[in-house]
Amino acid sequence: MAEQLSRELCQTVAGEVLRQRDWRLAYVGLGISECLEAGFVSEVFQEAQHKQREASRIQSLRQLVERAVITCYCRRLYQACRAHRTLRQQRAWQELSAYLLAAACWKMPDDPAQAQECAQQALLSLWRRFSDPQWNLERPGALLRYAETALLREVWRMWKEQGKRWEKEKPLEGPEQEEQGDRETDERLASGEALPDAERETLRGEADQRVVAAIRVCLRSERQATVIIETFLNDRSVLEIAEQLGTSPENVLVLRSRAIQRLRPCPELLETLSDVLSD
Amino acid sequence: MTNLADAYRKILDDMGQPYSSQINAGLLRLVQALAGEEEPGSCCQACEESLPIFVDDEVAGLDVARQYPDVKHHLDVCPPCAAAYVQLLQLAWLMDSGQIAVVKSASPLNLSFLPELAGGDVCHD
Ligand SMILES: [Zn+2]
Repeated sequence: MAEQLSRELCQTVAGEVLRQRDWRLAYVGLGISECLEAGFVSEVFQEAQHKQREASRIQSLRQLVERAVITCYCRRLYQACRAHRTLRQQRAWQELSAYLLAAACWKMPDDPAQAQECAQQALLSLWRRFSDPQWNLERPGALLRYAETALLREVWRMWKEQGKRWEKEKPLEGPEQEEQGDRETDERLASGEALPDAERETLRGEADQRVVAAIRVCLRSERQATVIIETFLNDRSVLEIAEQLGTSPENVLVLRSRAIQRLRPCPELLETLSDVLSD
Repeated sequence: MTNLADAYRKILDDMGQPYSSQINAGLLRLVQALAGEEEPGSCCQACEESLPIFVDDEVAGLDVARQYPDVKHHLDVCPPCAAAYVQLLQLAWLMDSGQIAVVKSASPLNLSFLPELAGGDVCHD
């Protein structure tokens, strides 16, 4: 039987998410007891209902509740970060530093010392902002995104100083894997199997159809063609396309930039686009 | 390569503005991407400032193209912003789904910037 959104589910998932990350600010007495603050579960339940109404991308109920837990926890974390000279403030910054360090170590797996340095600098830059009483975060529920942004900025700066190329540093899938993926996808297409959710019925009009045909002529890779069609003609986000193709967001961008490079010198597309757009 | 990009730039110039509402705006963005149009710096800055919220909503499954069309469409055509965006999206996705484990042991980061506890708020550890 399909799970229903309920307070019980929210309580269970909240317990799992918080335990896994050792986040204690939503527990009575900062985790001295195993008891979640009553208001927290209600907040999560409301947030999950809100997310369920708003979400357009299909995800499991559990994923939805997990995100609701994280959003609600971020609001607490933000308040605690600014609760001047309290135990909650100390705990909040400890948790934030553990989070940043984990992210930094993933980003820079070969150099723990540099990862630590970047996490430290990111933490300080957040502290400088958060300790200004005049300043407020636009959306406290997205606190971790601001923290990750601060971290990536530090990583970027360090790599720049070392002359590394930021966007090329960590390709998740190299050319061979991309070609492999292309072959698999193309075989599935040849066997008549549809791509999951591929090219939903949003392509309109003859102009679009002609451009799609030209894109397919110019690109031998079906995955590259899908990325271009979904990004531009169907206005899909990177994450939607990544899920559709069963790949990572980073690889969607790699596929997109390779596709653009191949499309640019292709006369069929140039001709079709100038024709279609000059009408 | 430059003259190929120029050919796409010419399509945009020839069209003039405003563009016809009959045309799928995505086609124009595709031409912009092929032309390698340089966006003004202010667009990049506005985009950069919106990224945390954009990515948070995207990870939550919201229709970001509809909610933040300006940001989404800038990311479609601006490679530097797209690169920064996708790094954040990747990290956010892995962190939220618990695929990167947060270490439970005491963090070795230096927290000496924090002010001392107020007198009444004693540590019971
Ligand atoms: Zn930009």
